[in-house]
Amino acid sequence: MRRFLPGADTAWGAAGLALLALGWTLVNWRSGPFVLPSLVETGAALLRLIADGSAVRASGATLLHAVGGAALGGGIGLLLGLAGGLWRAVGAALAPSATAILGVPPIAWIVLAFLWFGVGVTALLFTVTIATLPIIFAATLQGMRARDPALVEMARVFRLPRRTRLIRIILPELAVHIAPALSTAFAIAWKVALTAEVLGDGSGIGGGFATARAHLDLPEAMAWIVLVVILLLITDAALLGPLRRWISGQTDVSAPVAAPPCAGASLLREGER
Amino acid sequence: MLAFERVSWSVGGQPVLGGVDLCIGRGELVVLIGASGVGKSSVLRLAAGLLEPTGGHVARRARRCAMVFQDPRLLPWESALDNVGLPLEAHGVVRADARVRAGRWLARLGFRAEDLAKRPGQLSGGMKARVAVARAFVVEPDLVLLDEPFAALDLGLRRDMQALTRSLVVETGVAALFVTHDLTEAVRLADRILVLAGRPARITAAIGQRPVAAWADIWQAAAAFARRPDIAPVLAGLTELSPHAG
Repeated sequence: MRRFLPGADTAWGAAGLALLALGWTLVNWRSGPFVLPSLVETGAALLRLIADGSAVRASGATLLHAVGGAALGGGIGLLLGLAGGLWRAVGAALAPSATAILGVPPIAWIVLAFLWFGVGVTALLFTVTIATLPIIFAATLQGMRARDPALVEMARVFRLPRRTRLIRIILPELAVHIAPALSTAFAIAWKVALTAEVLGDGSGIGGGFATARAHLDLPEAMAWIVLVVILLLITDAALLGPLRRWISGQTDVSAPVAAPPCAGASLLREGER
Repeated sequence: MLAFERVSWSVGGQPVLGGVDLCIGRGELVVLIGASGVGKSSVLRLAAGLLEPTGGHVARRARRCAMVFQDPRLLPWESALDNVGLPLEAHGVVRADARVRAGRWLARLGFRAEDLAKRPGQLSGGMKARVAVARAFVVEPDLVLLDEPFAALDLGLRRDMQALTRSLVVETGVAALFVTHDLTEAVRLADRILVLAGRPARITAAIGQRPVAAWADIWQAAAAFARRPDIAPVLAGLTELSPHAG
């Protein structure tokens, strides 16, 4: 199998985004600016938002809500998943509840959070946390149940302490199972944070989008959307990219190297004794 | 170092081992031979403490036990060097010291410096087997258990690893229990050969003299003769030799 270079991945990604931009331009050309503003108008609106500082302020608030909530939900989900994998009764007890939580639409959690905590940071963090927690829990639990029993046995024979087993064996084994779930949870975190901001106190990028929508300022509305996508891509690459590259490195092997002569033993072949 | 006193073991109510007696002393390499599925690996797992006997008693005087498995069971995300150093670090050795000791063992087993950083997926079968052997011996065990560790290797490489294992046991004075279904391998390695057979399985024969390796072919012919349908019942009625004291 040919080895796929990381630089080639970036080039293909850029090509994909370029195709997206081409599609955007075609829709604008066919349908007009009141359906989809042009890339130029959107870019100009984005630059205005950056220049007057509102983009930076809003980005900071949304980063806190999205990344902070995802970290909380992911951390709690990981711990509960580990516990569920180590003690079967815990996993069996938590799994139905996690499914139930996942089944509640995010909009319902947003309304409940505003009722319970008022319209503010706490409600926003809670909503993102509750939206991401069951995703990471389920992936972790599944990963724990799919662990290689051979490595478990090896750890027992060599009497490896729990801390070593967790850090050197369990977490690396889980990485393959958790990485896709982390990507999904991270994207959901941003969507839920934006939705909550639109419905909430007007903070963050969601608040900016809501204001632009109310003023029928489509270029600015699109500019806020482009901004959140850029932030999502940057934070995803910064936070999850290293994990994906590590996983990719585990499965990317070069051709086997010929074994060196064994020290202290002659190379006997059949019939040469 | 290790003694089985009338050890029995059942799974799902079905007896697998029925009254196994054996003992292994320091510096002794005992080979347990038997047909596939007779319970040889179960004996090893009982010796390692991975299973509890349903009858009898397993006495281990070894402070440190290590095992070489049929598949190497290396961590695919760690280098050969870190795989060997893992049990040392786990028991308090500083990482730098663990890597030095692991590096010495791997160099002894024929690894070049540029191979130390390779992950198991980048190693050949023979190299992975050497890493597994190094990981077992780096902790300076009192007892080493080997579960058909060279079964997947080609003939030449298997003989190299057999010779290496024998020399390591002699040099370190460790007690070793080696499981195989290959009589030639048993003859090459063993100070003593124990035959596990029957349902439930027990030690049915103990061969206490180590033949010279050059006699392996004669031994194999004798073993084939012993398996003849008209000869086997006669031999089965012969008295067992007593195992060595532990």
